[in-house]
Amino acid sequence: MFMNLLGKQLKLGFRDKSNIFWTLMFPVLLGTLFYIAFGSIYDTFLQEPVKTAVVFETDNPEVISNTKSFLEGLSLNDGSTKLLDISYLEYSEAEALLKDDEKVNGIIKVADTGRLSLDIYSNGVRSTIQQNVVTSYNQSLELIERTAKDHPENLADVIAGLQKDTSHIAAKSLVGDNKDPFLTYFYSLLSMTALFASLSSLKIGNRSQANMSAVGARANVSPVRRMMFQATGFVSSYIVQTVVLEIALLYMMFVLKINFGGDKPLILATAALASLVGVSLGFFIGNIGSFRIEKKEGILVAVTLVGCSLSGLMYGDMKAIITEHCPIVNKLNPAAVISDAFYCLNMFGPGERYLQTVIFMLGISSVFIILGLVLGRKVSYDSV
Amino acid sequence: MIVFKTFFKVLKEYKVSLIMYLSITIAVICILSSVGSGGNTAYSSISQGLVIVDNDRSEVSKGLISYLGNVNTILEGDYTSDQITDMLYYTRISNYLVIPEGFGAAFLEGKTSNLKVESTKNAGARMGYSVETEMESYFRLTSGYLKGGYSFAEADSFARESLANTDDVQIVAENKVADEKVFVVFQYLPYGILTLLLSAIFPVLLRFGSSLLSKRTGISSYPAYKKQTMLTLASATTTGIFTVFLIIIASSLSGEAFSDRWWLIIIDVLVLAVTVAMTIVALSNFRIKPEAASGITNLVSLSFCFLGGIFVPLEYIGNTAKAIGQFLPTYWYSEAMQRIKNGSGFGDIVNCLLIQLMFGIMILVIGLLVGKHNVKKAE
Repeated sequence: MFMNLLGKQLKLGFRDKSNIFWTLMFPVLLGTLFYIAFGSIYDTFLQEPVKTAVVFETDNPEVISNTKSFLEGLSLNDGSTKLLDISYLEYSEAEALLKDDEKVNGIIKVADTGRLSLDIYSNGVRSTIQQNVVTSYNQSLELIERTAKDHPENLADVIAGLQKDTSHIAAKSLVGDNKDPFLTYFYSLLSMTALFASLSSLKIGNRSQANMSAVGARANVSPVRRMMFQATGFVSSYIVQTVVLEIALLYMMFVLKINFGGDKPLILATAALASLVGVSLGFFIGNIGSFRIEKKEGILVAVTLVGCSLSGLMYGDMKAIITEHCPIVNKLNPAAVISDAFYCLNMFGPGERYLQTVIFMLGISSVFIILGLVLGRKVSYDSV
Repeated sequence: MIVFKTFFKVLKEYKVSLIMYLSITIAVICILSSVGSGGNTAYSSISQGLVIVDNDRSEVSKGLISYLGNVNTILEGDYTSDQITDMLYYTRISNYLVIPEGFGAAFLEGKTSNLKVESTKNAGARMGYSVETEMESYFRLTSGYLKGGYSFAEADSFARESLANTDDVQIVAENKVADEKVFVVFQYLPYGILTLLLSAIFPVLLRFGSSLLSKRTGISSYPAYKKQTMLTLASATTTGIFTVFLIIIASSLSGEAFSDRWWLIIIDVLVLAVTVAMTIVALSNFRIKPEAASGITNLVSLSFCFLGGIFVPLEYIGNTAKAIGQFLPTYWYSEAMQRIKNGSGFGDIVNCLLIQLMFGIMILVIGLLVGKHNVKKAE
């Protein structure tokens, strides 16, 4: 009986083209869009030197040579990535480019005294990097001038020290597979897709209640037990939605080549678990009361969108901000927990923290399923 | 008038989604406006969050921490390694620094080749490099002054004095912005406009355009042109009410109203609202089922906002996305906002406004043509 019903429910599920379309198109279209928008930012930002115009306000060849050698020799700690992308220009040309922030991020002016000064258009990370360069150079000049004045006997040592490239920092990189912070948007998108799976299971309650749909009325007069009908509906909805979510995830992983980090089978398993949270949420809401299905859909969309916006769908840092100010919200928000599960796999692997997210997902799904079954069972109708 | 009244009766059924989108918009704006609102009247370096573990507690380590604290925000407290990783990943901090025991003594002796400050950073975030440059500058200068014959106290003082000096940096923008809060708030407003108008007008128009209802109203004595006029009027009224409501909320949150730049921003918002309304009317001609309205609302609003630089600034998104974004009104809304922020006047943003309107008109014409084709096909 179970397999017979399940087969029919699966047919119903796979024939619900509108639902499948939206559940699949959402991650595919938005995932593609995110890929276009953020796909290369991280790598570009890492490798792209800060665009800088250098204007010489002096003809002194020694000053020009020293400055060029200093600026062109600057690189990041890895030694291979240039810090600045330098163009030597007249001030009028540089100023025109500065107004168009795409072309130049700042103008370094070299005075006759050898001192550097910086013109920028607005504050920002790139401006801070350029300021560090200018300040660092000018400080060295100040050091030499001050020593020459107070302790000329030590000047040679000071200059030799400045020329010596000594590092006092042991740079370590953050743990984790893919450290791209823009990956958060993809995690949130997967959470959204998983929770939108609830729109499919929402119909189970509707289909099994005689006072809510014609299918429900027919199902109730048949010899099929309501719990069996609901259970098969739930399982079929879970199978359909998990297949859809996995297809979307595989599209992101193998077509868009998004590196989610971590073990691929575990990522797919996490998606299956996330789908369970979504389907059980819909199952629970679908069995509450006998109000119209459109209203229940409204509630689900609200829960999903509010949850996803708090987990960083619209603003990537949102989850971190909420963790700072009200961490309990992230612990209880299913969208944030699903997103965190993918994040944990990427950054820490399948450790204790990942296990906590798994337990939460299993726990909350069980609660929703039990509540759904209890609410669905208790309904009775007026009899003649 | 019956159509006009019915429009709002149907609209009332969507109050849950309207309240939801309004709440999301207000919540996002509130959180973001409280996070960032710095101005740029004078240069200031970007302050980074740092977590420092000082195992040395020498004068050198204290001098370094004191210096870093002048230009960055040092977070106090005991953090687990997971919390540190979270903060680095989400760029709440740029570096996690550990000063080893004995570092100060080794530095003063000039023997730090085996004893260095450990700096953990996200290699993809430039802020981490920026802090390391600040640290190296401090060490190089202090060491230089020590070699020059000064005491550590003098060396530390000279180094900090010259590192704190930013007189060599100046902002050359024509109009320097004193407070950016108004821009942060209004930058996110298009999401509210898109979601509210789409979830209000779109499903109602779709229901009026549904096959059965169209046939019923078609054979009634109510003239078709009057029905269209009333629907247009009701859509315009809804657009007006929601836009004004959002403007009032945004102005209250930003604490700015009726200034010159505020008027320019309002013009930009109104033009976008009209464009979105035209887009919705056009979409309603595509014979879409009313049940699909919710999905389309999310898809359209999120795509327009991501590609148009609403959620993520245009400077961060990729070139391909920018190229696509130029075909969307939200892109030109953001562009106009950027120009207003840089002190431009109405003359400088007028082309951004016209492009938005052109988009709306173009989509509307396509939509009406499709609608006309559908009617002919049905006849």
